[in-house]
Amino acid sequence: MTVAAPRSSGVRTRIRPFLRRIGGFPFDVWRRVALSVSVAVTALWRMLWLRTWRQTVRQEFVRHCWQVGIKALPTTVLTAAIIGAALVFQVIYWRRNFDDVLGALNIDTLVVLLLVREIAPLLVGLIVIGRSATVMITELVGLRTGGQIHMLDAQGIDVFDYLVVSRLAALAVCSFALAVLFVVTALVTGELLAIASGTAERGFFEFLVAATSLLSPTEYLLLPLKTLSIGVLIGVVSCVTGLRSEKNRSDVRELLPLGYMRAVVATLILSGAITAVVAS
Amino acid sequence: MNGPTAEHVAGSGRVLQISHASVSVGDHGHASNMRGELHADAGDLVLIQVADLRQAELWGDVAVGLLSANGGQVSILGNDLSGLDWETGNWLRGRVGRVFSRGSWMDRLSVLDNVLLSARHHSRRGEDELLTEASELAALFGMPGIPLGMPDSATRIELQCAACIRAFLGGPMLVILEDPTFGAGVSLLRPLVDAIRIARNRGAAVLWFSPSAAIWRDRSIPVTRRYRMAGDELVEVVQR
Repeated sequence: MTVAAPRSSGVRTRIRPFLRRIGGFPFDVWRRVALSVSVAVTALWRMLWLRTWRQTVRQEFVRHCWQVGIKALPTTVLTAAIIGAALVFQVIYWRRNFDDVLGALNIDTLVVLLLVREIAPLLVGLIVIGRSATVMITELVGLRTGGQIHMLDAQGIDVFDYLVVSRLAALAVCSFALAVLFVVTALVTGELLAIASGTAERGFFEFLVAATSLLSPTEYLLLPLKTLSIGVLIGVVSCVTGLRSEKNRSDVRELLPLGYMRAVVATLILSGAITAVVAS
Repeated sequence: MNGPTAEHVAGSGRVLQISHASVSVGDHGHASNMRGELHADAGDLVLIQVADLRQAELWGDVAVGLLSANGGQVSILGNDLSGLDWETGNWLRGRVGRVFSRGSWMDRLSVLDNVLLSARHHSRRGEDELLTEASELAALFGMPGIPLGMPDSATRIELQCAACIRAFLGGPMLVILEDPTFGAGVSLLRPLVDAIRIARNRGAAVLWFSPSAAIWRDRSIPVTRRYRMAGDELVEVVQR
């Protein structure tokens, strides 16, 4: 005797994988976020200990500072100069068309605040992601799949200190340094352009004094806070993407765009969150 | 050396003891369960014939505590590896020299930096002292020095010699060799045996894994104990 299978079981069979996939996505995101937070906290904690900074870890730190900081100098200076010029033309445009509307609003202050609070940290973050995070992801995937991480482990070299802590520290320090350079370059370029075009209202040195006096203690605190956090975040995303073993995702061609997008999105979210916290 | 000191290296002449170990390994969907026991005393040269280098890597990982045995006990220099924290385990692994069968070289470091990496990490010896020791070992292996170029610019023989130099650098108490003559042939055999003799004379134990029958039969290698993989079991072969 044959018994027909109930129709509902077929529907369940089709629905279950669908529901599993929908439910699995937030769990996967949550696991990744929790892992990233724990990596960041552990790395920051280990950075404070002198014994973490063995000779080999220091050498890795210096190597990454070269990779992240020095090699990104031309791109950062060029981008900052372009932004500085663009901001000057924006100021000229606003003054010409909206001077009566803007009234008492100080456009110089607005531009400098915008540059220090938002533009510099974000653009430096994006430069670091494009210039260095992608290289790190490629390197780490190569080390993981090539067996070099096993080799380091077998020699008693702490992989977390050697590969993760050194990278996070270098990214944080260099992001801050590049952001300071970015702000200075943008301001100087903008002012020089304003002087050259005859729209400057004061001399170069007067402008520098005025620009520094426009910044409140909050801005002096916000720039390092944002850039150091963004540096650490980019490092965490790169290391987690490169080192975490993912099913069907060991190919660097798949992981590279994934890591890039994760780093960009995470940077935008963090930058916005810090701005919101400071503004509120 | 940094880290733990006296009590961790104290102990008898037994350098490595693997007792009734059972190891499960899942590789590309194929799970295998290997078991066996092995010991090496100070001054021992233990030759282990394996079916492939995957087995050599596996037993090497068990010996240094990277792979946990399901049962039994693994101890180095009298220290039970299961009872050690990660940092102490790393310190002990820093006293083990090893020739790896895969993933030996960090691409972005020069061969010299690769060779000195572990010594720099675990010791506070000066750079000159390390370079002098590395140069002496290079001379022993018939090389004018350690290649300064990147690993991809070195020849297979140069890399294999450099791997052996790295394994013996810093006076390790245990040396694990995963088919050290692979790709270098007999040209590496004599200097390697000399390096092993020097290491044994100062009380180190050496594990030599090889899938080669020629190495197994070579009577010029002063082996003190022999093991062989019989199916999934590591068994001692008694010499007559």
